[in-house]
Amino acid sequence: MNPRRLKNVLRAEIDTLRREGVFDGDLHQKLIANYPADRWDFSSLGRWFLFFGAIAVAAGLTILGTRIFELTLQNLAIALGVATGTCFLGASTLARRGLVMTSRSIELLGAFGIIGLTFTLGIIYSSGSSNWPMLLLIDLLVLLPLAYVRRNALLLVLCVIVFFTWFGGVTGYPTRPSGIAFPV
Amino acid sequence: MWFLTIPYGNRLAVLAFSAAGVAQLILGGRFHGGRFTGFGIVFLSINIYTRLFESFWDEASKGTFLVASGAVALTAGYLFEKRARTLRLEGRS
Repeated sequence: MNPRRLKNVLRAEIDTLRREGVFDGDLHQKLIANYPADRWDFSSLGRWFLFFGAIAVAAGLTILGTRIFELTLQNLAIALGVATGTCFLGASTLARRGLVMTSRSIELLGAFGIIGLTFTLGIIYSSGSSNWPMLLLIDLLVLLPLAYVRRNALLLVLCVIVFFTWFGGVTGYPTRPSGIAFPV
Repeated sequence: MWFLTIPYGNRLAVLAFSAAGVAQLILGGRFHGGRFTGFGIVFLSINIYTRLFESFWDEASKGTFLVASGAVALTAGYLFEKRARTLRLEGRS
């Protein structure tokens, strides 16, 4: 049984339960909405395109930003702060319009902005300790509550990646005095 | 990752591999296989990045490539979600 057929079976079962009066019309509509059986699975297509699009845009902007703009660290921190704020505000607007997956992807972009901002501030206020993994731990402390507050699974996945990068940084990667990791 | 690189410029194999990725996306969308769609877009992305690495690495701007491809993917994703929402609302009414 392919997933589309399975969704049709589930929808039929939900319809039956509705007819038998097990639940009301509102709950019926909510449950049916979880199993769309249209000709194309636009939800899944949208989710994957948005996820990869957000990652590609974040990586591209990072590369372009370092080559085109010659910002001071302070200006970079301000630019990242503004961009991050804009991402989260834009995501809230999109969520209100019912575009949940798009808003979550934009929040993922904002989360990348937070990580960039933390590292920029870390460089500005560096004490010379070279303890760069601590910045990831700080990111985790910000991103983990944010993932639950915004109910965003993409942020939760990012938290897992940040956690394991922090763990690897603390336990595995020796660093030069400049703080840049290098393989041994 | 570079096991996907096709040696000696075998364009037919590249075309077949790309077509397989696109077909996987289409089949995943048609039969509601979310994981199938996911694997399709992962392999298509790796394939496109491999082609960039093979043919245009020195000439192309990586930043522009990533921003452009990401913007296309974001726009496509936005349109897909908008369509899904429209269908959902039509189903309710």
